[in-house]
Amino acid sequence: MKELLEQVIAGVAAGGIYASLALALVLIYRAMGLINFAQGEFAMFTAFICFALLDGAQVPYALAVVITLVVAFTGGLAIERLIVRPFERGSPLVIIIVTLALFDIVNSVAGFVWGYTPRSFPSPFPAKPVDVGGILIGVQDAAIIGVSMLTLGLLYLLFNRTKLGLAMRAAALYPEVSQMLGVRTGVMLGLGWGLASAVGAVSGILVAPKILLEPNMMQGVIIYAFAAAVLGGIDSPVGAVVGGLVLGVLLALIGAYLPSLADLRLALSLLLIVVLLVVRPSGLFGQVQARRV
Amino acid sequence: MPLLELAGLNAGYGHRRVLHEVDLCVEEGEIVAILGANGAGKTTTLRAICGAIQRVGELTFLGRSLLRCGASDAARLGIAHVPEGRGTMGQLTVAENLQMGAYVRHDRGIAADLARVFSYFPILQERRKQYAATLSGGEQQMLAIARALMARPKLVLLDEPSLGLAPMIAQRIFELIATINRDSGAAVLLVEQNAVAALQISHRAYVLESGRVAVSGSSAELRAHDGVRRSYLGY
Repeated sequence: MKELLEQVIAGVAAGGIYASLALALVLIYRAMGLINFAQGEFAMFTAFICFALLDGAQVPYALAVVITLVVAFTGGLAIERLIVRPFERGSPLVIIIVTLALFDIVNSVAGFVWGYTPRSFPSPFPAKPVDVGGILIGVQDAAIIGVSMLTLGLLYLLFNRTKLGLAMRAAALYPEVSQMLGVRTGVMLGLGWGLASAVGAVSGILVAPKILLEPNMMQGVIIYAFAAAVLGGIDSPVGAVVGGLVLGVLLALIGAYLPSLADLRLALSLLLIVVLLVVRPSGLFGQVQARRV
Repeated sequence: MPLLELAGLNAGYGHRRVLHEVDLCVEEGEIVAILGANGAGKTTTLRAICGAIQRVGELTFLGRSLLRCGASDAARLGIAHVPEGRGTMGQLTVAENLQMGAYVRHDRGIAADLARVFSYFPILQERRKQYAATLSGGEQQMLAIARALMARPKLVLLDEPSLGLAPMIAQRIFELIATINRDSGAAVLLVEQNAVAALQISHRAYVLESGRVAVSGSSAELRAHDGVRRSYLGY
């Protein structure tokens, strides 16, 4: 029982990472109606920037994270404005190809700048687990759960309690009407990309201490994040978090209790994506209809 | 100086020109109707004013040219547009729609205006937490007009407010438009196929035919003129 709880908690922590990246995917989907396949690579790149600040410039952890989030936000905004915007009026397939190209480009640039040798990412949290009522919980894991919840909470407040968040929602759902009301929809879209990149950066910074930092580190995570987002509902932030947590726990339990399937977890997640898109594209909480492009 | 003035305005979609040399003006506080058959260019006129389509010619609002203004600038200048089909944002609540109506405003009068809007349309207050898509056609039209009022506009562009509504409800909407015009002093440019109702509440009217102004004058004149009524207004 104790071991089960520990596995569940570890699964929740992994789920928190998937949820953060899934949230970034959902933010872009809600803003533009498509998946940014490069989201994981953006997260990886920003994790490297954080590493450069921590390791190279010896910046204190909290400051490094803040700087990284600002850089991520600005980078996302710049990419939308400079690279994505020229294609916005065209077919969605074109933008998807652009995101795939960005996947490759960002990955290669990271490799070029920092090389492919894996490094360990410094973490401010002690490695020794904490004993809570007889159950061992990793401090890093608890931090991941806490940060993921905080991110979701802040996003909820932004979108549902602020004028800006309301304008972003309106601009994404009803761009023409929003323009009639005075909303600069281009600016809102840029902000959406910036926000998604910042949320993705949170995911990268959280996962980097757990696995080794190298340019390909997010490629497994993005598959799980994609599965989590589709499971929860690709247009639902709550769904992204629930999907992430459910998937995280599920994968942790498979890893612990079904060792023969452990190596197939990535393949099973891909299968889950395909099955969901065919059978129930709206996921648990979403409202999407499937459409042939 | 008129509030809104179009002189020799040409507008269209891509290579297709829809409006030809249109002259039109709206004075402060007036209700002006644009009438005409389907495809005459009525909605295109409103779109041209707002900057949603390409236009060439003279287009001024409060003396300033609108030609360089983009699609989202009209609202900031004091022009509120209620498009054909209402343009209510169905996945947002009634309250959120009204909030977005006041998007361009930064003053403290927004809460008071919300109260006033609820006094014109009590049903909206009742339904303020519901999603806009759950409202009936008439209620959505009220929401669209209320949302336009939240911007405290100087000019309201109304595109076919009676479309799809039962005659009694449409009548109520027209009465409300007249009341709002009297109370707030906002000018109204009303595009309507229901010429009878539009001429009842408007001060002046223009009749469009194939993208040109065929007839214009005071609404009283147009109502009384048999030839105009029969040829252009169909009754």
